[in-house]
Amino acid sequence: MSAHARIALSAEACTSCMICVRECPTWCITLDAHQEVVGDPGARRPRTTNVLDSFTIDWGLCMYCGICVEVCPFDALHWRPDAVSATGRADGLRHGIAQLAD
Amino acid sequence: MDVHEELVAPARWRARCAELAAAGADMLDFLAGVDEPGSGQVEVVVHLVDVQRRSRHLLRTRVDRSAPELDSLVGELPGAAWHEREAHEMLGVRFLGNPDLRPLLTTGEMGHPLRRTTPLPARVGVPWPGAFDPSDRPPDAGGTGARVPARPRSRPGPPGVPPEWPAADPAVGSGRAALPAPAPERGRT
Repeated sequence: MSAHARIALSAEACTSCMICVRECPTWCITLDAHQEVVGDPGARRPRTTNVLDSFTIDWGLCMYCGICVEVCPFDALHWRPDAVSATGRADGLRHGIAQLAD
Repeated sequence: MDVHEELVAPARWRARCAELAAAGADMLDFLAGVDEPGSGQVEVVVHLVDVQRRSRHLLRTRVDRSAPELDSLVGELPGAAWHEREAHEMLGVRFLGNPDLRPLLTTGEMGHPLRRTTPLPARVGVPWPGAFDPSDRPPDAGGTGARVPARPRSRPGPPGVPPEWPAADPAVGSGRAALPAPAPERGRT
């Protein structure tokens, strides 16, 4: 069993489906995304895809329950063994896509 | 250990606890309460342990939610004072005969936090992040001018937050809303 020290995000696997954000009991995840039209622009019903703009976990609120890891349908969230490093500022515990990448 | 559960009338609460304590179950493990808005009652539970016989007693009673009152157990079990003080603060149960029901944590303006109808500032003061939906944005059509029509959908609410609680007001509550937003990451990945 691997150590459950922090949660990492594979941004390329995330579809901005919002399931983790809505299931989080502490409301520690926020994400921002927009839609882009993909495929044939002349189609009667344009097909769209979500594009992730930002994804933030506030480690000051997270209780490491792992519900987000469990519910992610695309395995974009997973545990990693290294701990969240200390910081001198409260907003230093808010990690975005770059810091959550592994 | 054997667990003996029983439900007693509020009038019998103190007498039954005194009986159990006199019979050997004189170690008070905890005294707590559960708010039940559906039935209009608050359930109070006390857990007494008989260390010699290795048996446990879970004694419950139900009091009216609008004016919950119960006899204090302080005379029989002095350790109950602290638990009753906490139950009074969190659920509003008045324990008649407890000499000190001062609040332990709250300052009084938020009501009784463990009443399910009491809005929690940490929930009311912060907008639920799950309200956002990427399809609310007009899509970037890549210069084609194509627009995706907005689809009506039922909006999910935050789980565990009763719908009758006031809507989030960023000006109220915890300091969380006042934290600076992280730097925008658009284009960084």
